[in-house]
Order: sequence, then structure tokens, then C-alpha cells
Amino acid sequence: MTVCVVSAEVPIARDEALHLRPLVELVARAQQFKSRVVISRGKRSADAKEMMPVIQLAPEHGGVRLQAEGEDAREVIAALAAIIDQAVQRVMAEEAQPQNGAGEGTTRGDP
Amino acid sequence: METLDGIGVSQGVAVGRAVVIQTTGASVRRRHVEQDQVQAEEARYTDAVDTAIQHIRDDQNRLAPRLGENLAIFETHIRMLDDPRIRRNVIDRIRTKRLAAEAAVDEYIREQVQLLAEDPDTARWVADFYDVQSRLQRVLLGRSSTEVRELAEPSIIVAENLMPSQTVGFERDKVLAIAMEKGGKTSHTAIIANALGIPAVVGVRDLIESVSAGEWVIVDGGSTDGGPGHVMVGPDDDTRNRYSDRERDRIELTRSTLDKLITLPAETLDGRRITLYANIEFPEEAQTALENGAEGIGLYRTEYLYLEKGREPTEEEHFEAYRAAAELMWPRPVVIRTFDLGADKATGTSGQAPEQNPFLGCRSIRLCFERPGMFRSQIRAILRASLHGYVKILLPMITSLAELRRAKGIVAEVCEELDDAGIEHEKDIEIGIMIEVPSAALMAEAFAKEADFFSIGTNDLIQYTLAVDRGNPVVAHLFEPAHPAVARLIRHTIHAGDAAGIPVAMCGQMSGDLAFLILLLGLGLRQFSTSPKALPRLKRAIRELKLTDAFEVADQVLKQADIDTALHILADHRGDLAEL
Repeated sequence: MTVCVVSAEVPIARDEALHLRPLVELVARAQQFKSRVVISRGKRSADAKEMMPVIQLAPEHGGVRLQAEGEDAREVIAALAAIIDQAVQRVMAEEAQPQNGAGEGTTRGDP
Repeated sequence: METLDGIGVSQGVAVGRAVVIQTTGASVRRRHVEQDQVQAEEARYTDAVDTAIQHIRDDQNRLAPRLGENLAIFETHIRMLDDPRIRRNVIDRIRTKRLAAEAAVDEYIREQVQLLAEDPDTARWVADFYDVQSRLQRVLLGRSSTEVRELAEPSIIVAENLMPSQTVGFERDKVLAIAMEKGGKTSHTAIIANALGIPAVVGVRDLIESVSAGEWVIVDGGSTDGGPGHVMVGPDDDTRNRYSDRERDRIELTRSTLDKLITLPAETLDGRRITLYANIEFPEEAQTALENGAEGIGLYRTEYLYLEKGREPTEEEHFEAYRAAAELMWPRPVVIRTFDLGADKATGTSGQAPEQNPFLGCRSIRLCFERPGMFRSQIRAILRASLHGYVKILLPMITSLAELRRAKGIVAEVCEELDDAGIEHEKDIEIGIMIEVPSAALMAEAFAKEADFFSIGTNDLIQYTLAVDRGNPVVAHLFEPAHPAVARLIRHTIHAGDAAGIPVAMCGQMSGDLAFLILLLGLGLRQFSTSPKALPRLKRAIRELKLTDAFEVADQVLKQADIDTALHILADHRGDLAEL
């Protein structure tokens, strides 16, 4: 088995995208892999398999860095990045869908 | 009477007596056990976790019909309970400190909650942790925190911070409204209250100290979700009656105008018939679309099928969803847009590093070409479903003729496959394209010869034309639908479609926004597709406008070089519609 080290910067295009649900999902997913995975935001980082430390990172502004070491490092990075991307996608899809009464609140010029 | 301000997150007004709910975890005695009991406590904890998970699943099943996609909250709580490392942490406390199961859980959760509460970014999740904690304690101690489902009479719920499970546990007819001291418009409780149609105001400062149990309270959820909302404490008889009457009037007015509008055509004052379609994400919404007078589905966003499941749907899952929508809408058309997923999904499966610039990357139709298996199974399902109604295919993010031809080639191949397998399907399905990239809008004449219809997607068209990411707060103000450059692209597209005799619809957010209605009519748009609930208002506005005025406005806007002048022209005309 080859052991490799892989890392990726994952941009988070929407604040609030990475709320409790995707974070919890991310940890549960990370636990399914053998590699050691670290998630970091700015100077703070956490073991991606530890739910509480990951949640306490509150990694939702700007982006996060994922780093994995182990035989399935590539796979775990890809899987976690996909969860983050999906969360962002979900937020953007919600934005794309006008809320109730759309057309009222979005008017320019009105207070 | 005292009036407190907050954020209205679910519209409507309610008058009633307050029930004040305390949510910050009941206190648990720090009980120790003998060494020979430690193993039994561990087992008691493990069993309690399993039982609590089962309780959540029961709630999930009970509430599924009412909550739809909001059920994800429960899945998150199950994952939190089920996390092996959290379990180990609690078990360690039972072992090393000889704590009783409930005391170990209490100690652990309190520690974690304290950490979360210190950071404003994570403080809003505290309610979720208390919620999980109280689920567990309910099993371990056999006692419950205040249960809203035990309310004797219809009341207004006043709380510092409601737990999501409490909100969904409500009996709809017992809860008149919700007022919360904490929370924002995206908090779980806000989302659930909105989904259940319970008027709600959150983020009300000093709420708890201002309201006593049993006191009269009026909750006004405001008129826009996320806008200002109010809580009135201790109103007199007159005020209460006035609000009750006003709410009754409001409900009756909305219902009667809606009913009247649905049977009326969407026609301008000078007699031009406009077609109104609905945008949907789930087949069930087709019913809402019909109830709001939709003449078809102008945009079925199928990527929700993917996002909802968190994986690629099977051909059968595609088929069932499309068939349901097609049958409901028959004989009206259903325009199914193939997956419009971001570049991110590709990285998810191929293991490549995430893209630097996903909006210019492998998204949408490009992603479908990268993953032919996924695309083909969706096309197969659409072709099969087309026998059950009037179905059309809409291709997103087309930038060149080559892409359109390639996609049409794939559809033709899939048709042959189905023929070979003896599976029945529509032979001549209409295939249209989204016009959402400037290159497609500029080349619209060429596309009009090979596409059966156009659908203008304004969110992307504006983003790509003005080079603005409206999710980026620093530049979001530059995202301007009324930009004369955007107006020109829209006009060009409509003219090309008209000249070739193919229909042109608009399905972006702009099409449902009354501020741009007169401009779009003036630019020649005759088919609008927007969210089902926005349709009656749109129809009412169309019935108030003259096409001749619209042409004049559009002419003026197109002549402007400056956005502000264009906006002023629109604002002047918008005044007439303000009351609608």
C-alpha cells in the first residue's frame, strides 16, 4: 500500500453553507476512511474525525484546508470536498429559488 | 402595552395567551455509582442512545408528510448521538469518574455547549445540543422537559430558544405563534415554523423578562420573511380585537383575490395574452403550481433530486419523479432541465482537487458530458416519462452550437437504445436550451435554428455578463438585473426566438420580480416562469399594465448608458404597482 499525503483548499462561496448538518455529515464520512485527516480554518485546525472539535472550528467563512495522510488520502479528500461543495450548492440553489411573495421584497428604490 | 422588535421569519399575526418555555437543559444530579455498577451504567448509556435514536426516527416518520426536506435536522441529531468518539468520551467519564450515565452525559454536553457558546459563530447550535441531551435524559431519567404537545389550549409559545424537536412536536392547532429571544432567520426553528405556517418572530431582545406566563401577547410575523416582526406584550381588549379582525380580513382577502385571479387570464390591459409557468424542484409542487394558476412547468430543477439524496439518483427515481409531475400537469407542458450541478460534484467523484473557479469550470452541461452515464440515465428517464404527459428537455449552460449538437446526439442515441430494448418513449421530444451565458445570447439566431425553444436564465446571465458574484457581499451591489447590457442581451434573445418562430421564456429570479415586469414585457417577453406562489401577484400586475407603456419603458432603458438612470425609469413606473 502506498501512503500518500494530499491536501486541498476548499473555497466556501457562501457563509452559513457549512452549518451543523454538513459538518456532522463530514465527520461521519471522514470516519469511514483509514487516512488521518485534518481540517483547518486560518490558524486553527481539528482532526476531521472528531465531531466536537470540527464543529467548534465553525469553518464557514472563506474556506477550509483539508489535509490527509494514508492509503486512501485522495479518496477521503475528494469525499469531504464534495460534502462541502454540496452544502454550498444547496445554499445557492435555495437562493436561486424565489421565496414566498418574491417580487415584493426585492424592489430597488423602495425602503 | 410594550412592543418588542425582532425578525419576522414566518408571516401572519396571532393573538393569544403566552406559554413560557425554559429550554436550557434541566439540571441533573451528579450521581456516582459503585465500581461494580460501572459496566451496567455503560450499558444503560449505550441502550439509551439506541432508544433515543429510535425516538428520533419515530418523530421523523410521524412528521415526514408535514416537513418534507426539513427532516434533515433529525438526521443530524442521529449522527450526533451515534458518533463513536462522543460515545467513547461519555463512556470514559462513566469509567474513570464512576459517574452515572445521565451525569456523564450532562457533564460532557455542558462542557461542549460552553465552548460553543463562547464563539458567536457556533452559539446558534447550542439549542441542537440541548435538544440531543434532553432526548437522552428523557430516556435515562424517564422524564421530559416542557412538552409543547401537552398544551391544554391554543397558546403563543414564548421561549429563549426553542429546540427544533420541540417545534416539530407542536400540534399545529395548539400553537398560535412562536416568539423567541434567540435565533435568526436561518435557525432551524425559524425554518420549521415557516414550513408549518406558524407565525413566528425570533431574535426578540429582552423577551423572556418582559413576558409572564398566561399574559396576553400579540405576535406579528411581519410581511416579508426575514423582515421586521413584532411582539406586543399586554395589549388591551381593543388592540386585541383590532388585530384579530385584521388577521381574519387579511386571510379572507388573500384567499378571495387568489380564487378570483386563478380563473382569469394573464392579459395586459390592451389585450395581450401572457403565458405563466411555474418553477419547481419536486414533483409534489406541481399541485401548488396548478392551484396558483400555472399553465405549465417552465422549469423543473432536477438537481434537487441529486441534492436531496446526496447521491446520483437511479433511472427509476428520475422516472418516478418526472412521471408524477407530467401526469399532474397534463395536458400542460413540463420543461425538465437536465442536471445543473456545479463543478464541485465532479471533484467529489473523480478525486481531483477542487476547482479554483467553479463557475467557469466543469459545471452543468459540461459536467454531464464528463459523466455520460449519469446524463444518459437522466435522459432515458425523461424520454420514458414523456409518454405520461407533455414533456420537454431543457439543456443548461449551453455556450456553443457544438455543445447543443453533442447533447442532441446523446438524446438520439438514447432513443435508439430504448428502441432496441423495445421500451416505449416519445420519439420527437422538444429540446430547448437555457440562454444564460452571453455567448449564447449573442449567437441566439444560430441557436434558434437548432433548438426548439429558449429559456432565459437571468441569475447566470447577469452574473456572467457583469462579472459579479452576488454571493460576495463586497461586489453584490453590482449585480443589477436592469443593467442596459443585460436588457440588450435579453432583447436580442427574444427577437432571435421570435424571428425563428420558437418560444422564449424566462425562468430566472428576474421573471418573478414585479420591479422588472414592465421592462420585460417591453423587451418582448411573453412567457414567464417563476415560483408557484409568486404567480397570482405576477398575474395581477400583468392585468394592470399596458403593453404600449411597456414598450416605451423598455425603449428608454435600452437607450441608457447609465444604470442609475435606467433604475430611475423603472422606479417611476413601479410606483403604480406598489399597492399590488
